Amino acid sequence: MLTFIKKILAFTSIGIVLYIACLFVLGLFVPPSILPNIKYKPGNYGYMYTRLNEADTASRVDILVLGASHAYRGIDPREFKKAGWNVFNLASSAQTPIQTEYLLGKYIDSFKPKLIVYEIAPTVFSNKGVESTLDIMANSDLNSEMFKMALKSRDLWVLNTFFYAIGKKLADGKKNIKDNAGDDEDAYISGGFVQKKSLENTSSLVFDDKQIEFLESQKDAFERILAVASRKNVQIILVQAPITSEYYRSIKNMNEINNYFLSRKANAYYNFNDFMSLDSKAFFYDHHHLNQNGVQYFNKALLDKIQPFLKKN
Amino acid sequence: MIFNSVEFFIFFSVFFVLYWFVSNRNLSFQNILLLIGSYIFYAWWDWRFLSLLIGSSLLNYYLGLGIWNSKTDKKKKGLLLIGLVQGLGGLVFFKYVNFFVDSFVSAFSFFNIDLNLHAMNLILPLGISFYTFRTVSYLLDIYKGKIEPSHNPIVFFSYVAFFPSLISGPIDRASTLIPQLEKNRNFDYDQAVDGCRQILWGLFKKFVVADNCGLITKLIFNDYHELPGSSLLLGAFYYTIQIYADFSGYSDMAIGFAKLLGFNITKNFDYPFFSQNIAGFWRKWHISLTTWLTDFVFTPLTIAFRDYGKVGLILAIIINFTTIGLWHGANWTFILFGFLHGCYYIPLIIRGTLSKKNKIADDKLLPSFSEFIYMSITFIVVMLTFIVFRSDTISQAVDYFARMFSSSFLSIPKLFNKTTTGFIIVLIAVEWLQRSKQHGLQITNISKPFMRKTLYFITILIIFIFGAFNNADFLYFKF
Repeated sequence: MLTFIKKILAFTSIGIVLYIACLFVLGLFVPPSILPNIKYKPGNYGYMYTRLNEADTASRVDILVLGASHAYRGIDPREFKKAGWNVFNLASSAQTPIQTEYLLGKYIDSFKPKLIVYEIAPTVFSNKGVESTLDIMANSDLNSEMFKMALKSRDLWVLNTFFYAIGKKLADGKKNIKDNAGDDEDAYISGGFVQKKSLENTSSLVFDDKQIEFLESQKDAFERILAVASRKNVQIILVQAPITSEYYRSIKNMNEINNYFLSRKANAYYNFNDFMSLDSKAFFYDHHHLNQNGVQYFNKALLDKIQPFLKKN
Repeated sequence: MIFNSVEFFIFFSVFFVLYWFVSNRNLSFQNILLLIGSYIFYAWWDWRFLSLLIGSSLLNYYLGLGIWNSKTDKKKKGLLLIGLVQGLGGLVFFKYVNFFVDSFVSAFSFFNIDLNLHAMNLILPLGISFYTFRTVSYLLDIYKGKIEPSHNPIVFFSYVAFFPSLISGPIDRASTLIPQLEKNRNFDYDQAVDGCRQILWGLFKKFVVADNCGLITKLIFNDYHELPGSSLLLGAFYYTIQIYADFSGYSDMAIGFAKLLGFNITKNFDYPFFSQNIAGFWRKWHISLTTWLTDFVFTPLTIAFRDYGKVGLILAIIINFTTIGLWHGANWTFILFGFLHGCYYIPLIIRGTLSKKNKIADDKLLPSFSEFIYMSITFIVVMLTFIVFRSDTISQAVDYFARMFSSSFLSIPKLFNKTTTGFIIVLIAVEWLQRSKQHGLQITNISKPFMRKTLYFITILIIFIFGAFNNADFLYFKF
């Protein structure tokens, strides 16, 4: 029986090494489109490739924005520039605290922000973060920290894609990637913002009631983000951007969520849904993203809230 | 905790080490461990129903002894009746009571009579159809004097709850499993290696074939009214392959895990799509259920109807297959599925070819033209019944058929998937070449270990790169 166990262990060990090698070789020669469990799509959506390229060359900013699509489609650096503040928006599609922690760790020293505005859409706390990890992986250089993030996801797609991406990036070299502009509806604005051209909201505004349950892994990553900000002496403000009132009301445990964020060690927490009332058709382009008119209203209100923190420094 | 989960992998690894190393091959210790492991495995899903499993085992253990020790036939019959009422009554309660209530209400509402009955909110205990059939056959076999009852409660309880086959079978008979539980089990290297191969083949069938087919069939059956007839035919094809690969894949894994623990359990599938008629198909499909029903439903019925000749035989077969259909669940679609299969037997009975066992392409690489045609016809008729099986209601099935056999039947199908179809071809080709073996990866004829290991590795690579991992549950869990 010991022979059996030894052989199984030997086969497993060699198999893992060979498997990784095969993924690397597939990356060199085989396009990802024919490999269903490899999700390698640079420039796929949300302008992450352009944003990270800009982040790699950017210097000091006053405000660093983190979060998911509510942030990169909702916090427009141009609105803050008018008030004299430099903003970089490092948010990305479905970015969960696990990816935020990675991006913050990578860029905090080069941006040296006075203030971090962290848009904390509750739904991302219930998400494993697979989509966002794949997004970052495809659009930036690979490193050991990213491997650790991939391991944390415990997801086959993420792990397969990581080793495939090593080969693929080697094969593609410095090939220029063009971000997907979403049927020409999206435009990238320097500073990480993505502007939606459409102002019209045609989406349904009827929702089933729901409870959002936070994952422990995301809560742990969130605590580490707050700890990093504290260690680096950077103020951090937690923000919930406006979503349509219909969608907001369908989340039945929002009091519990508000209490959770209020009890964290951040400099402030503002849930803009509680003190802004924006018409669902006039200020949104879908049920949870602001259109440009909504962005302007929200950014003005946000600026009023964060000015005191910026003036402290 | 299901076979294809990380939790089960960890559970089984720990269990395997305890079972073979810590137990020091002590039979009692192994059986106690097997029982505890089985209960943990079951409770992982829902601990509340564990009491039902334990209660059922306890009652049937004493009933078995009682039937065996009873002096009078009347007492034997009484005890058997208690066992049948408890076993089948529990099954009827959890699985069929809502169906009967709904059917009565619908039937009476047809005559404008409001029965004011409401369906109950019941959860079907996982594996109840499978372990009930184990306990019922145990009592019936004791009653008929075919087996002796087990005098060791640990052995009997382990038989009922044997975790590799607890949730979705195979439905092992007491005569197969209890003797293995009663004798010393020594680790057999070749058996364990073959168990691993069979698990790997089961994983390939489940993840690469069944779950990829499942992604397409879900789209087709959900939106069948939007799709051309050719796509609906494709949906029926993919679903037939899905249910085979899913269920036989599960059975392969169950048999494989049992082999790793030193058990040989009942084979459940024997390459059913290589059958030349419906009788051949059912000799190879869900074998443990069909043999169970043959023994306890079909055979008694044929005896009861023996004076009616072929008509009696047809009636017995139709009742038997309708029971098979009903076993799958409380829905008229399952009943119709079984009934149609029963009807498929009628030409064989009339022609007197029911028990003819055709061995296909004996020792040849390819089947003859006529064998191929008969195999294809059998596959098609089975496939058509799986449309009924997959549909939510009979009217939906009828609508599906009507749309499938419409003018768009000959159009180019939408949702055809080249990769999935390619793997279906691989599955069929491998199983054809391996049809004399127990499973597709029993490659003992390849003498070079390096070649064998390369094949295992390629199978693993395919599973991890092409497998669909978003539909982990097995179809037969709900039955």
